[in-house]
Amino acid sequence: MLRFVTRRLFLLVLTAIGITLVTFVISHVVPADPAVLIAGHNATEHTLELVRHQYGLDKPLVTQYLDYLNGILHGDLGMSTYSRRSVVTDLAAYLPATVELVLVAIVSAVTIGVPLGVVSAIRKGGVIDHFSRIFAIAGSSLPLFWLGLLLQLVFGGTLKILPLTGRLSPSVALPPKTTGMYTIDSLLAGQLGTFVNALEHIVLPAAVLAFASLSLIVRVTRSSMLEVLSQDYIRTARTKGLSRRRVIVRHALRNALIAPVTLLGLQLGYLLSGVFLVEVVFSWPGIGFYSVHAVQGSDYVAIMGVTLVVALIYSTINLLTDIAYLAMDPRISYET
Amino acid sequence: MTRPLRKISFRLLLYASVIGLTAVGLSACGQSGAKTKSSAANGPASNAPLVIDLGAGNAEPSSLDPDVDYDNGDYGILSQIYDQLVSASGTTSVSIHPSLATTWSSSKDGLTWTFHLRPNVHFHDGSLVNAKAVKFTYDRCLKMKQGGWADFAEVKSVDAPDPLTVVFHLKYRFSSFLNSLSSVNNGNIVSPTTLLKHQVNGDLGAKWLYNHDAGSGPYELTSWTHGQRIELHKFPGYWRGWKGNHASKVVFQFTAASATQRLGLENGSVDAAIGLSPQDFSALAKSSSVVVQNHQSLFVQYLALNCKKEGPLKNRLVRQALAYSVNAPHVAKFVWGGFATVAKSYAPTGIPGYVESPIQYKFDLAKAKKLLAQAGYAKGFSVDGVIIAGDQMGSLVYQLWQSDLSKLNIKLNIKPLPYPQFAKLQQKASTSPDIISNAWGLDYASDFAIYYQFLYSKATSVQGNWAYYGNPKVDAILIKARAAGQANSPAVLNLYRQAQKISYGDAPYIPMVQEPARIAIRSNVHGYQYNLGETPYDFNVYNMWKS
Amino acid sequence: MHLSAARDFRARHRRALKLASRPTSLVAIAGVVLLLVAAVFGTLIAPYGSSKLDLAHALQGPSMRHFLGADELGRDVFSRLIAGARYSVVSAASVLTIALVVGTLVGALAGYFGHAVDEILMRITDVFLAFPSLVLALAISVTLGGGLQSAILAIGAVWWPSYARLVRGQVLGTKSNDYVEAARALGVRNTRLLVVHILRNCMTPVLVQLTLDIGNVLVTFAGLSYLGLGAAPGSPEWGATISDGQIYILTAWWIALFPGLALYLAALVLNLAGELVGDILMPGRSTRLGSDAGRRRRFGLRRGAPAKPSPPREALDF
Repeated sequence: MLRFVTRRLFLLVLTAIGITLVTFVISHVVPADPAVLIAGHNATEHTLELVRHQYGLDKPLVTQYLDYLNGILHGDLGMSTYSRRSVVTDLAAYLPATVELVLVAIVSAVTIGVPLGVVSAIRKGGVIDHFSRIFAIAGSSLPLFWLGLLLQLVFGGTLKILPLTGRLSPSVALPPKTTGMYTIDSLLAGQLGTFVNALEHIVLPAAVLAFASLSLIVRVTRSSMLEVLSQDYIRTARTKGLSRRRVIVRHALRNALIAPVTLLGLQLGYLLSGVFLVEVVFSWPGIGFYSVHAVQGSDYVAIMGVTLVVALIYSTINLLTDIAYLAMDPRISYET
Repeated sequence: MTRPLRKISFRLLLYASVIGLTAVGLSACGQSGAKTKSSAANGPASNAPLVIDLGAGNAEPSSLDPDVDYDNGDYGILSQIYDQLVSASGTTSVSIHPSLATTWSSSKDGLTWTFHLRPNVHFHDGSLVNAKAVKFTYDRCLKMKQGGWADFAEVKSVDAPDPLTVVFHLKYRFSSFLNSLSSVNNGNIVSPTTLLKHQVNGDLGAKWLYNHDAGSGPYELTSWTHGQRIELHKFPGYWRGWKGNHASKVVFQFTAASATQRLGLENGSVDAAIGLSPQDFSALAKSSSVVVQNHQSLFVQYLALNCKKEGPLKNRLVRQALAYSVNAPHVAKFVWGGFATVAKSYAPTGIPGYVESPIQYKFDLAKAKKLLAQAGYAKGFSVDGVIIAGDQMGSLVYQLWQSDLSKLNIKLNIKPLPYPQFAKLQQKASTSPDIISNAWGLDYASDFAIYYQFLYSKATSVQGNWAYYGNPKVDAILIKARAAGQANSPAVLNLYRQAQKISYGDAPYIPMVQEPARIAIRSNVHGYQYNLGETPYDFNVYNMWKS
Repeated sequence: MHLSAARDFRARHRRALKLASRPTSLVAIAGVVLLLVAAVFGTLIAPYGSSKLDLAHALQGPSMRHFLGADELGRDVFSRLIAGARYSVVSAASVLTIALVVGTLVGALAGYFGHAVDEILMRITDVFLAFPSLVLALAISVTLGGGLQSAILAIGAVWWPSYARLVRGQVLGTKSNDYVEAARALGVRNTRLLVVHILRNCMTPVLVQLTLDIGNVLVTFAGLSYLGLGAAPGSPEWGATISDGQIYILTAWWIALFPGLALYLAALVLNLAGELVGDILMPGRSTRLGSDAGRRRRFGLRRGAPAKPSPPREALDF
C-alpha cells in the first residue's frame, strides 16, 4: 500500500510539472502585447518598456519558464492584467463560490442518484426503474448551458419563484466571511434569512450541474448493483435464509457502491468543466466566471492561472479517490 | 470502515432527502414572498440600502484608483467617493458648476488658470481639502501617466500659493480646460495624507488605493466583492451636509443579466438599473411599480474606416459609398428599439460646440453603387469589420449592415476582438482593422474631446482617430479652434462646421446614431436626476432616497 | 468452411438488424439521418436564407410565417437552426479527425516500440488527461485567437489522449500475436507490420469510440461557442445563437431555446447511435466501471488484456 501511494505521489509530481509546462507553452503563443494592458493604453513606449522589464517579458523563454515554475512554487501565479491584482488573490476570492457549487451538486447527485439506482436495480422492470433509465438516457447528452437557460426561464421568468443569477440578492447583506461559501457562512453566523436567500440562488445552478452527473450515477449504480446481486455469494446468503433487506444492506450495497465512488473521481473532471458553463449562465462569481471574463480581456495570465490550479486540484483529488478506492476494496491487486 | 454503510438504510436516506428538499423549497418560496411584501409595506426606509444594478456590460471597475481606471463604469462609483474642482451637469445640455472650487478665472492669454477653493472641506480621513491636496492630485495623475491622464496633457505645472488657491500653468491655450476638470476619468481630488501614509516604494499609494478610498465625497467605501458588488456608506462629515432626504447606504451590483435586472426591479430587490436590453426596458415601462426614463447619452455610435491602409477603403469614393449604404434609421429602430436618434454630426447633441454637419448621408444604395463603379469596385470586395468582444450592439449593427452590403457585392466579415488585441493592432495603420464599430464615450462634455480626437491627424493610436484620417486643411481649422475662446461662440461653431464639411466629404467615419441613456427606477425611489455630462453609470445617489 | 463463413455472416447480419429494430435504435438512426440531411442539404430545405433579414417581423414568436419564430433582425430561427447543423457536423468531424490521427500516431508508436518511447508518450498523454476538457480547450482556444479554427484545434488537442490509450492497448494486445510474429519472421518491415497488420485490428474499438464521442464533441464545441470562442457572433452555429439569444430570454425565448433543443436532440441521437454501433460491433463490451476490466485499467496496465473502449472522456460530457 505504501509503495503504491508513494509511486502515485511521484507520478502526481511529474504530472504537475507536465501541467505547468503545458500551461506555460500555451500562454507563450500569445499574440497580444500584455505590456499594453498592464500599463494602460495611454502609456508611452517608455512605460511599456519598463513594464516589460518588470514583468520579465523580455527574457528568453527558458528563463521565463524557470521563473514561472519558481513563482508557482512560491505561490505566485502572476498578476491579472484585468483585475490588476495577483491571480492568487483573485482565485482565493472566486474559488469558494465554485467549491460551494460543486459540493452542493455532488452531494445532491449522490444523495438522489445512488438510492435511485439501487431501487431501480432491486425492483428491476418497475416504475422507478423505467423512469431512471429514461432519465439516464435523457441526461447523458444534455447541454448544461441550455438546461440552465431553460430552468431560468421556467423557474425565474415564468413561475418567478427562484432568482435567475448571482449568489445573493443585492438587498441582502453578505454573511461574515469564514469559508467564503455563503450557505455555510450564514448558517454558522445564525443568519437564517441570508441562508435561505443563498440557498434560493444556488438551487438552479447546482441542479443543472448535478443533472447529467445524476443520470450517470443512477445508471452505474444500477448496473453495479445488478451485477453484484447476480453474484454467487448473494445467492448463498439468500439460501442461507437471510432476509432480502439484510442481504442488500449488509452485503450487496457495500460492494455495489464501489463503482459510483470510483465514478466520483471521473465525475469531478466533468463537473469542473461543466461548472465553467453553469457559472456563465447564472453569473455565478466563481473561477469559471472569472476565467471566461478573463477571456474577454485577453488576460492570459489569469486564464493560465485558473487552468493550472484546476488541473492540479483535479489530479490531486483523483489520487485521493484512487487511494480511497484501494482502501475500500482490498481485492484489488495493484501494480507496483 | 464498513460499519456506517451497514447501519444506514438507504430507503430512510431517500425519504429524508426528499423531505429535506421539500422543506427548504417551501421555506424559500415563503421567504421570497415575504420579501416582496415587506418591501411594499416599507415606511421611510432609511436603513435599507439603495440598490443600483449597473448591468453586465463592463460596469465593474478594474481599480478604484481614480488615476488608474479608464473604464465605463468606474466613474459611477468614484463620483460617490470623490469630488472634483468643478462638476458638469445638465439633462439635455451640459454646463459647469462649482464643486470644490467656488470661483475661478483665467489669464488673458489662457495659459494661467486660478481657482479659489471652498473652505472647511474635509477628506474622509479628516484632513483638510486644500491647495496642496489639489496640487498633489494633479502631480500624481501626470506622474503615473495611466488611465485618462492625457486629458491633462496641456498642464505644465500646478502651484499652491496659499491653502485655498490653486494655479494651473498650461503649455498652450486650451479652450476646454475648464470642462476637462470634470472629466469622468480624472480630476478626482485625493487625500495626500492617506496616500502618503500607505505609500509603498514611492508608488504614491497606488497599490493601496486599488481597493481603498482617499476621497472627500459623500460616500465611503464599505467593501468591494469582486464579480458581485461594491457597498458604500455615508460620510457624516461631507461638506454639503445631510439635512433632508439622502440615501445613507448604497449597493452597486454588477454582472447581472438584463433578465435578472428586470425581475429584480419588478420584485423590488433592485431600486434602479441601467444596461437592460431595449426589449426589457420597454416591458418594464408598462409596469406600474417601475418608471423608465429615456434620455440622450453622449455616446455616438459610429463606424471608423481605415483611410491609410492599402485597400479599397483608401479610396475616398469607396468610403462615401459605404456611408450611403448605412441605414441609420434602421439602426436606431432595430438595434436600439427606437430610442436612439440619428446622428447629424460627429459630436453628440448637448455638448458645447455641437454643430450639425453641412453634409449628410442618407441611405441610398443606388448612389452607393454608382460611386463604387466610379471607383472601379463594381465587382465588390471583401472587408473585415471589427468589434470589441462582448459588444452585442456593435455586432447587431454589422449584421444589419451585412445584408445591405451584400447587395453591393461587398462581403463584410464580422470579427470580434478582445480589447488588448485590438489595442495592439490599432497602433499601426497597416495592422489596424479595416472597419471598426464603436461608440465613442467622451471623457468630458466638450467639442475638443470629439472633433479633435476624431479628426486631428496626430491624435492617432488608441487615444483617438481610429480611422487614421489626416487632412491638413482640417488640422489647421482644429488648431485654430483649440486656441479660440468659448466653444459656443459663433466663430468657433463656424470653424467646426467647416471642419465637418471637409471631413464628411472624406468620409473617414460614418456616425450612425446617438445612443439613448435609459434608466429604470422603482416608483418609490425619489431624487434621481439624469446627468448628460457624465456617463449613464453616474447616479446622483446623494440626492436619492426611497420611501 | 465456405458455408459456415456465410452462415456466420448472415447470423451477424441478422443480429445487427435485430438490434437496430429496437425502438430507441430506430429513433437514433432516423435522428442521425435527419441531422446529416440538414447538414448537407440545409440550404435547399430551409424556408429562408440563414442571414435573410425580415425586419418587419423582428422578435416575433412562432407563427405561420416563421415556424420557430424570428430573431432580433427578423431572421428565421428554423432556417438558422438548419444552417447551424452544418457547422456542428463539420466541426465535430474535424475535431475527431484530428483526435484520431494524433491519438493513433501516439498510441501506435507507444504500443509498438514500448519501453522508453512508451513511457514518455504515455506520460504526455497523462498530463493532457489531467486537465478537465473544457478548461484546457478554453485556454488553448484563447491563445490561438478564439475563432472557429482555434476551437476545432483546441478541442482536438483535448480529445486525442483517449484514442492514444485505446490504440496503444490494442497494439500491445496484438503485437505478440502469432501471425504478427510470423510476418516478422518472414522479414516484413516494422512500419508495414504496424500499419497493415496491427492497426487493422484496432479499427473496431476505435470506430466504436468515435461514434460514442461525436455527440459529446458536438456539445463541447457548442459550449465553447457559447462562451464566445468558436463561431463568431451572428453566425447560425447553435452555441453562438444560444449566446446571442440569451439576452432575449424573457421577451423572445425561442431565439435561444430552439437551437439548444436542436443541440440536445442531436447529441442524444448521436449518443444512442453510438451505443447501437457499439452493441453491434462489440457485443461483449463493458461500460461499467465497477467491473474487473475497469479496475485493471485504472491502476496501470503494462501487459495483458487490451483495453476495451472506455466510456466517453470523463465518462460524460455536456
